[in-house]
Amino acid sequence: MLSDHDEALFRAAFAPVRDIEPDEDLVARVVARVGRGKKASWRFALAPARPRLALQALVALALLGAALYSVPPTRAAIEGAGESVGGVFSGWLGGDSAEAPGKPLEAAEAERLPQGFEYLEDPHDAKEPRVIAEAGGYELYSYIGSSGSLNFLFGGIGVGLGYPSAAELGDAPLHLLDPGARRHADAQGHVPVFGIAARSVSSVELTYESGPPLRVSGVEGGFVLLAEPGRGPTEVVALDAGGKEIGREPINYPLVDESPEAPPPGIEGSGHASSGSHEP
Amino acid sequence: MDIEPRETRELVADQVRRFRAGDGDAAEPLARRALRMSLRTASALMRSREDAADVAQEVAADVLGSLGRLRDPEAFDAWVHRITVRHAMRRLKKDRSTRRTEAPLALLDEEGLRGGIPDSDIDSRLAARHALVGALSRLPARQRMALALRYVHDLPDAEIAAALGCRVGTVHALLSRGRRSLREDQQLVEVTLDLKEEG
Repeated sequence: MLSDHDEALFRAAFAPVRDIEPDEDLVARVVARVGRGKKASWRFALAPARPRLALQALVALALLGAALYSVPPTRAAIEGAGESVGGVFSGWLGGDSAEAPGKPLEAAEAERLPQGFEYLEDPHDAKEPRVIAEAGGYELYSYIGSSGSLNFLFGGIGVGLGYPSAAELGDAPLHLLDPGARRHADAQGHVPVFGIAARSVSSVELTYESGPPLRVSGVEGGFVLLAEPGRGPTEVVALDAGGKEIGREPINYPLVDESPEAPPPGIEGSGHASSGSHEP
Repeated sequence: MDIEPRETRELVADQVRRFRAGDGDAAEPLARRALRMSLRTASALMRSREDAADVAQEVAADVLGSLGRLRDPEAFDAWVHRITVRHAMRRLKKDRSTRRTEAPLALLDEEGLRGGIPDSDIDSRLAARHALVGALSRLPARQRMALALRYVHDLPDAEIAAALGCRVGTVHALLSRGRRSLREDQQLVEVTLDLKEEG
């Protein structure tokens, strides 16, 4: 129980920052930057309350449909292209559907995409929503917004991320879409880690503080790794077709929320269906 | 922070509408508000004043650059908090991954505090700031964020949950664990007790 004394202590501790004001130069810089029409980045992790049921339904439907399809190979590695995650999506954003990773969603599937993400463009107005990876009932969806933005939705998580352009994804061959992956472990103790990868990445490896890594092969633009939080996930390593490391990104944020919560219905007992194959 | 009157929120919402309609005069007050909010949050989290200013600048630019996507103009503040969380979390993560050396404490605008405040109080405030940043730096990022939103902005649990993108129950847990850790930080307890006694 928080005592009055504690509350006063915390208030006193934070008091020095409660009255900070930005200096005029900082204000002027922002106004000038906006005035120049610089395209601002906007990336959000959202977990709206209302779509929760819709998400749970989506997970259940995805599980039911998991046996009906698997994400087919898209255009595999193209020599000289796709060395960055931005390169994977730039062609698609530029209008070339053949460049898009993953598999387009059927109209009925697209209708079931989670909505209510206040800061993301409505997926129902989207061009070509796609599923670019999935594992264990968790799907990584992507769609182009009506203004040309690139958006990701995490099926089974209730989080969306938006990027104004593929350039925002950076030049690295690997990009973890965190902290959207954070949730409670499913019935098997797994937590999904969502990421996107350059075309030159054919497999990814999740390393741990202890024990063997988890390798997922057949990566084509995106992946969902089913991590074991108890073993202390440390990094995701990107490997090319020859098994050579071409990039890595640390996982230095907690994978699991700290309050108890039941997993969404339909997760229990689910297998490891994936766009790639898990090789623990 | 005092609870702002309804008129303030309506004024901000009106500025948002004017900005979206192309009124350039609305940019400055909105930028100042976004900067103020994000700078205060970031100053409780970052190790240097420069880092806090960088985060605040990015947040403010993002907020103004994407105002067209804000459905409810009265949700401006909530939007700023949410974007601040995103940027601050990224910065904290980047700092850890690059194993950056600790920057000297430079959070406090000493010049801004000098007016009418005795040097002994300035020293106490500096010590409190130093102790706070040190104590917070030992907490997980989300606990730090939740504590900053509560004690810098007086946000209720539901609004912290909205900013962090989690459930209210998670906020309870984050705050509870964060408070417990701070309560056990002897240096912070000592300097804040000094502040209280001086206050």
